[in-house]
Amino acid sequence: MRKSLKEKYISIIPIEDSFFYSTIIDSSVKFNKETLYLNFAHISPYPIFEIIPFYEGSNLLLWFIPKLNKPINIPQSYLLFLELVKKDKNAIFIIDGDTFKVIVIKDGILKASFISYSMGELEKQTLLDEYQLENIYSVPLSKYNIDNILDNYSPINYYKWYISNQSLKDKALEYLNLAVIPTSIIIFIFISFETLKDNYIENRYNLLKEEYLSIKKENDKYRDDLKNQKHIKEFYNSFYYNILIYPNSFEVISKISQIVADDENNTIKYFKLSGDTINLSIETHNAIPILNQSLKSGYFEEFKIKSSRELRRKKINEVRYEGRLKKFKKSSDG
Amino acid sequence: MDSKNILILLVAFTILVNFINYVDVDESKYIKKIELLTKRVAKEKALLGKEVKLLDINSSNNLFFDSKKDNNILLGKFQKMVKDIAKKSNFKITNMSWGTPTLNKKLNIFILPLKIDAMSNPHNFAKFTKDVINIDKIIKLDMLTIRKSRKALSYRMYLFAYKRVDNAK
Repeated sequence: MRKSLKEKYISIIPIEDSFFYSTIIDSSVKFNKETLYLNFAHISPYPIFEIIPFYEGSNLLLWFIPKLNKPINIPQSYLLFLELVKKDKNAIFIIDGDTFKVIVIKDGILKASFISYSMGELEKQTLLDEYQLENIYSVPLSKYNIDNILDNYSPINYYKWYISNQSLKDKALEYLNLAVIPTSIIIFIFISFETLKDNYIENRYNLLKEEYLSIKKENDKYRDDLKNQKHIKEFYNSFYYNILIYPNSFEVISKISQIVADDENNTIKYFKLSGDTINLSIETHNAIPILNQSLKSGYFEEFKIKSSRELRRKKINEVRYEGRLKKFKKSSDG
Repeated sequence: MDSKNILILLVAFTILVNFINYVDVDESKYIKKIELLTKRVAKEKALLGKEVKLLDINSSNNLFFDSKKDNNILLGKFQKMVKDIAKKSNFKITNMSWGTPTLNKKLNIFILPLKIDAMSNPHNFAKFTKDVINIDKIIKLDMLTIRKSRKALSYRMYLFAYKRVDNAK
C-alpha cells in the first residue's frame, strides 16, 4: 500500500535530469512561486522548467527540472546527500557509475550536485580547490540504493517537496468544489427521505389517533356501564358489610325457635338480640342438643351455656345461653 | 463554484445535521406514541361488542325508601306497613314509636328506626316476622327482647328501614 502510494505520488528526480543551485538567503525569507521564478528563473539552463525549492536554515537549495510528473518530487542528489553527510560533513563524493555523480557537502549542507563524464586527478584537485575542501571520496553507486534511502526518509518530510501550481489550501478547496454536486444530491435525497418519512409517521399517528378516538367513543357506553356497575357493587358491598353486618335476625330467631321446638318440653323464657349478642333462657331437660344445634347452624361465632339451674318444683332445668353472631366476611373479589 | 459557495454549503450542512438531529428526536417521540396508540387501539378493539350485565338499578333502589321523600313521611309509611302486617298476623302491637333518623355519611344513607312493643304468642310472632321479611324493602331487626309472662310473650324490638340520600339535591 505504502509502496503503491509512493509510486503514484512520489517522483525521484535523477541528478542527470536536473540542475542544482544553492544560495544563501535570510532565514526568515520564504519565496512564493512567483517571487521564486522572478529571482531565480535566469539561472535555469532549461527554456521551460519547474523549480523545486528546499530551505535549510539560511540555505536555499533549488533544483531546476524541465517537467514535474508527480506532486511530490524528491531530488536523488538530496537523498544521496542524506546518506553521505553521515560519513563526512565537509567533503566531495564521487559516485561511480556510467557517469560520475558529484555531491559536494560543506558544513553539513549540500552545496553542489552534478554529472561529470570524466574524473581524473586533475578534475578532483580542481573541485577541491573550487570548494575549498580537503577530502574527496569515490564511492560505488551500488552502495547506495535510492529506494532504501527513501524508505528511511520519514514521510512526514514529504510535504517539503510538494510542488503544485496550486497551494494546498486551493487544492483542498478544489476537492471540496468537486464534492459540492454529489453532496448536494445526497443532501437533497436525504432531506426528501426524511421529509417523506416524517410525513408518513405523522399521517400514521393521526390515522391511529382518529381510529383510537372513534373506537374509544364506541366503547364509552361499555366503560360508563362498567363504572356504574362498579359503584353500585361498591355501595351494596359496603351496605352489606357495614349495615347488615350480621346474619338476618329474622332467620336467626326462626332457626333458634326451630331448635328449641325440637323437644316439646322446651320453653323459651327469655330471648334478647342486641347487635351481635344473643342471650337466651330456656327451660329444658337437656341443654346439650340446643347448644350443639345452635353451633351447627352456622350463624354463631360462639355459642355457650352461661348458667344452668334446676327448678325443683317444675323438675326442669333453666339454662342460660349466650351466643355471638358471625360477621359477614368479605370475599376476595369484594 | 468558489470557496464562498463551499462555505455556504458547509454551513447549510451543519444546519441540516442539527435539523436532522432535531427531527430524529421528534420522530422517536412519534414512534413511541404510535406504539402506545397501537396497543390502545388493540385494547379498545378487544372491548368492542362487549356488554355489561347491568344490575337493575331501579329494582335495586326499591329496596330502599324513596330518597326524594321526607324522613317523617317515610317513617309514617313504614309504621303503616308494619301495622298492617301486625294486624294481618294477629301480632298485637301495644306501642310503636319513631326513633330519630340518622345519616350514615360513609354510605350516604338514612337509617329510619321504629320501636315496637308487643304481646303475642310465638306462632303469631313467627307469622309477623315472616311477613316483615317479605316486604320489598330492606328491613333489619335488632335489639329484640322476648320475655315470658304468665299468659303470653312480651316483645320489644327495633325495626330499621333505609333511605338513600338523593344525590340530585
